Amino acid sequence: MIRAFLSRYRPRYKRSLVYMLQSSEYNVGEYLKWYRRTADFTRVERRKQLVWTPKARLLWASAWLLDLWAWIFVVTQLFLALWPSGPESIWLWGYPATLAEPAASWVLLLLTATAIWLIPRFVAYGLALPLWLGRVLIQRPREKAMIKRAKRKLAEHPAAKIAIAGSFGKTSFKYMLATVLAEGKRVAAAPGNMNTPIGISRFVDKLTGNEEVLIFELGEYYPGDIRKLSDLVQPDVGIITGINEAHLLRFKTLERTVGTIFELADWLSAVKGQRSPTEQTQDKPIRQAQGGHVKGLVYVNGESELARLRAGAEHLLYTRKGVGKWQIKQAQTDLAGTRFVAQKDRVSITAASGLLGLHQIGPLAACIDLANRLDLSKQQIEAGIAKTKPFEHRLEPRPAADGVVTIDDSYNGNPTGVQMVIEFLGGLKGHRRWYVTPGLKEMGPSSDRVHRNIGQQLAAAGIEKVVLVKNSVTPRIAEGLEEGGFDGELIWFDDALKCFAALPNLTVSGDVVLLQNDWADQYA
Amino acid sequence: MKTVAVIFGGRSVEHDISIITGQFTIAALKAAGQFEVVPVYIAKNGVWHSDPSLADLKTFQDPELGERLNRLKTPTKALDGQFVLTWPGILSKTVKVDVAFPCLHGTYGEDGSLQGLLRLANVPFVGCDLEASVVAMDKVLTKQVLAETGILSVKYVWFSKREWESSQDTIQTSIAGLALPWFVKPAHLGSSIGITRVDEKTRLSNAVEVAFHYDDKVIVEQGVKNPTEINCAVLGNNILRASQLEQPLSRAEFLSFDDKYIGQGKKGGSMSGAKTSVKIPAELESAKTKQIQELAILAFKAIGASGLARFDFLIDPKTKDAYLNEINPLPGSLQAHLWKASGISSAELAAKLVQLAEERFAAQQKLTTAFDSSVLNQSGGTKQIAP
Repeated sequence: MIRAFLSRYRPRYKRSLVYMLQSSEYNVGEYLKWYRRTADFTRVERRKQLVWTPKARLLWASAWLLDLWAWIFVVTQLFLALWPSGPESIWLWGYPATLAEPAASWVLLLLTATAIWLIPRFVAYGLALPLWLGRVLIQRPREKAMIKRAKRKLAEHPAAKIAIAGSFGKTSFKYMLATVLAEGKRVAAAPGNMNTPIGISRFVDKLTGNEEVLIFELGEYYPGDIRKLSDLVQPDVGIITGINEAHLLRFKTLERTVGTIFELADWLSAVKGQRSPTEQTQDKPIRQAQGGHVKGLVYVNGESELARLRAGAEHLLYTRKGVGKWQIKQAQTDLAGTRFVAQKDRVSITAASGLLGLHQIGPLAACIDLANRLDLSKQQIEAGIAKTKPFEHRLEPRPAADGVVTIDDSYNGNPTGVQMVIEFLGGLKGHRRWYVTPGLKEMGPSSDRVHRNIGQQLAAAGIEKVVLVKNSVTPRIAEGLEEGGFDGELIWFDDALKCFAALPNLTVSGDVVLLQNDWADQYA
Repeated sequence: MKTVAVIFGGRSVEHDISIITGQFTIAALKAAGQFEVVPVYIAKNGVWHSDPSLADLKTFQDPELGERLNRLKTPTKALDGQFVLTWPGILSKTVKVDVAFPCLHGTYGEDGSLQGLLRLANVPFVGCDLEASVVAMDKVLTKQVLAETGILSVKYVWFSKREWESSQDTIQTSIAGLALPWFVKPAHLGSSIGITRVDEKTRLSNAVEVAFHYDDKVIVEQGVKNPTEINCAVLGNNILRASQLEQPLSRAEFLSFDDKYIGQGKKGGSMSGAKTSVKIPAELESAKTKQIQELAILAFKAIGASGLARFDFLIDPKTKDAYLNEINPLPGSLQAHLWKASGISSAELAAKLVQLAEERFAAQQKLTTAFDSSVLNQSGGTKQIAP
């Protein structure tokens, strides 16, 4: 406790504040949330180090100036208050002089202690203030102009525009679809997770106008977000990758989450125009790559219960069994990838993807259907699927020379994804399997239930080793393991870094180690 | 929680390799979660240091290491029937070591010197005991002991520096009886340091000179043409387990120091580059694999080894004979990659070695080391000569 208190007065405290601002990409809200949650600032830079950019230097210097100024102020005030012949009333510190002893001394002491207590907080909030003002006064107006420009450009762009929304799996679907369609079309997809109005506008700014297909990921933070993004993107095709408890902390209820994500489907049905739902779902290949030919199509992940229940008859449900008239056969998965045959009428597509897990088949089937509608040939679709590989930090296998295969799923922090991954891990035979996690964050009121479920799923899958990082949520996983009759070994670590350091010393050749989710420093 | 002192560094040409083994061992013991680990680093000048910062490889990669070490508080060592480290000062600290884990390679560490010291300190220690270390570290002595067991070793000639200087012609004649190529080696060093392959007789003198630079006892071995190199580690005290076999894939004439520890190699374990240049398991018929594993266990017993040792064999491609070429009583990084391939994790290996050390120590404690006699009372008088 004393260490935690003193940590705000260490010289490194100011560097920690700047690091966290940088780590949260100068998002003042996220930074302040971290600040209010944190008690001990001794070891903030655990995963990464502060990068000394000009902005970071400026903030760091500002933090020192604020700190120095605050201390000078307090010391000066104290000095003036104690100076027998000095002015009696200098702002707050003059007040005790008007009181009789011993009250005067006590009030002076209290004032000074409060001021010293406030100084580090003053520095922390003082740093955030100019950033917030800069955002409101400068950045936002500029962004608004940029978004307006992007909207105009997109309205005139002839490409088929595909928008992807969902609680999870958006980025994976985007890369999958872009990889497959790129075999026959000029495709542009917004990189990384550029899923906000400004992110999308920056991406649009760079488009040449020559593209045949544009793929966008729509991020949902608050109700109405997806509708606004749809207004910006003006999609021809919508894809809903699934809905779960991810970001429940922001949405409060699942109903609001469902409603927000389905704003994409609602937007499409509102603007789809003359074509009837029956016409849209007819599985006829489209002869041109213009958006008009696929306008209004909405694919919904049928394996996500919440999405399936909300989907309408006009929507195309995709699952590992197929999509539309496409039927999936001979599905199998292992550490080398996933293989299946997609069949529709007399067309048969033999798919071999590097992606791991049977849960990848549904999205791949949707890609096949859309590629087929956009007139890609069987060969092009097969070649495209063959090029789909695990994405970085998403169920990405990393075989090592010592015979241990590490599967990096550290970017997967949603309960549905976790369920799929445990299913995959459970299906691997002939390996000793490790499941390593710090749990999931931002689960809101569902957190206990979600984590208990994870424990129960792990027990049911017969995972041999479960490694948990100690925090507020992992004890629930341990409870779930016990409830599920887990008969493997449960290993605890105080923090993730100690865990990662120890793992190579705990494994043997043939082991498969799944690293599930990772918490950045602001959540650790 | 038991306190384990991991001792590494040392006054040896294999000092840096020892640091790697030491760091590896510290990480493995920490991962085991059962021990309080105390790093004990013996600098090249022989000074013992101990500080938590020495449990990090980065400390030793710091060009300012010397200055850092000077700033550390040096502990005093009590070795009189116990192993205790004390850091002096106002806030003095004392740590009693329950088990010592030597990670020293080569001279003053792997050759029995440290083992003797730890015996005197009456503390359990990991790995081979004094006698086995002495035998294993002397290539000549190893071959002489192995000859008693029937295990094959290549033909050789050995000589001391004094003998070379006084009877060079006679020695050269003996060496001429060996078929070329020859391998000229310091008798007590590992890690390929000071070893030269000689393909022409005229190069012998130079090679011997190089070897005498590191040792005063040199061995010249007859080479096996295009041999298959096979390594096997053995773990245990009484109940022994042989590891999977490893086949180094050397492109050079023999694995040099750099091959082993910097480029590729067979000895470095997880911290060196020994990842792509070995085959595990070795490409051998199962009967041959079994034979090599049995020979390794036989050799382990013959030299009186305990804990862990590695045995390097050469297989003649024509005759299929397996020659035991070298014994390593403390293989680099504990040969963890071989054990990992054999189903034993590094943490399990480290914990097992500590357990074996304690078992051996317990058995030694049962031996009588005191004997009451009246010899002192009778001494000091004039010796009487019987008529």
